[in-house]
Amino acid sequence: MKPRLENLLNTASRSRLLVIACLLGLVGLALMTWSLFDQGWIPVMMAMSIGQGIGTLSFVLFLLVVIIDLRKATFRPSMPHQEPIQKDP
Amino acid sequence: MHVSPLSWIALACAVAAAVIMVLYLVYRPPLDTKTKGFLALGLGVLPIMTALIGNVEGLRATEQQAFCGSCHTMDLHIADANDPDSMGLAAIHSRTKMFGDRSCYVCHKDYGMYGYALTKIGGMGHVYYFLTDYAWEDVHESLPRIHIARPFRNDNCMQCHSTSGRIWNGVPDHQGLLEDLRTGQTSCASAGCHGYAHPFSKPPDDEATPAEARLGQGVMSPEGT
Repeated sequence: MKPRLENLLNTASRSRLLVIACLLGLVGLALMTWSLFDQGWIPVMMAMSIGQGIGTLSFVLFLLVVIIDLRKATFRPSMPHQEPIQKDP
Repeated sequence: MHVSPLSWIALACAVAAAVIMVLYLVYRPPLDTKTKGFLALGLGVLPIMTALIGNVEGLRATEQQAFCGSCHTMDLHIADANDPDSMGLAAIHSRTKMFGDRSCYVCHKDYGMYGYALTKIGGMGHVYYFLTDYAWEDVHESLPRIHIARPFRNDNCMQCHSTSGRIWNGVPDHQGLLEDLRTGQTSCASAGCHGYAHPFSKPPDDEATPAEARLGQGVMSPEGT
């Protein structure tokens, strides 16, 4: 599991992941919004199970992109600690 | 169709999120901090707001009579509850403001500490039975087979009828059966007392329905169906 995740983080295309995330997000939002206007058992249950599941998956893909970015980012090292300069008395 | 102000807020969040996602799909801007900030809104914050409000509204919707009636197997029960001429317990209570369009939920919900969650879990059982069995049947075919999952508890009646008032205790039958009523040994909603909540669903000769016979409860099951 871990090597596969590592492989995904190393090779996945960020823009493709975001496109999938956006498409899933739109589907999830549509299902969630449907239940606001039609409160029969099918829309309500679809919204609270499938709709939210798809929405969560979309958000997870976005977080994956953020993690990929953070892994590739180069952080400037912090400045080394300097000893205070002793002044001659 | 009544749409609450909260639903409009959820819709606004959903529309804003959708606009952000569509704009990203159309223009594919470079993934800089600004783009990611907008996407965090469009894929995270705004859909989460929509989902949270959707949960509140969805759970509220599950308390409505219309929600229970959205399965065709409940058509006759809902029609009877809303019949102004019906004298069944469900109909009498549904005519009052407190029960009204929430009458199914007010009577059938579990009033215990974890009542809300347990009621919802019970509702999932209804969905399971509907999808695996009753969905494919005509309502008149399924009516003799529908039965309450467990005998109706007097505790639910006692949420309003405390059994301690002077007028209530002035009824001789109540006095004689007080302990039995409080412990649930005798059902308020049985044939000899206040009658079945959904009397239309009982066989005319007051025999046990096939479901009751299977359960070995006879007509003592308070609601029967």
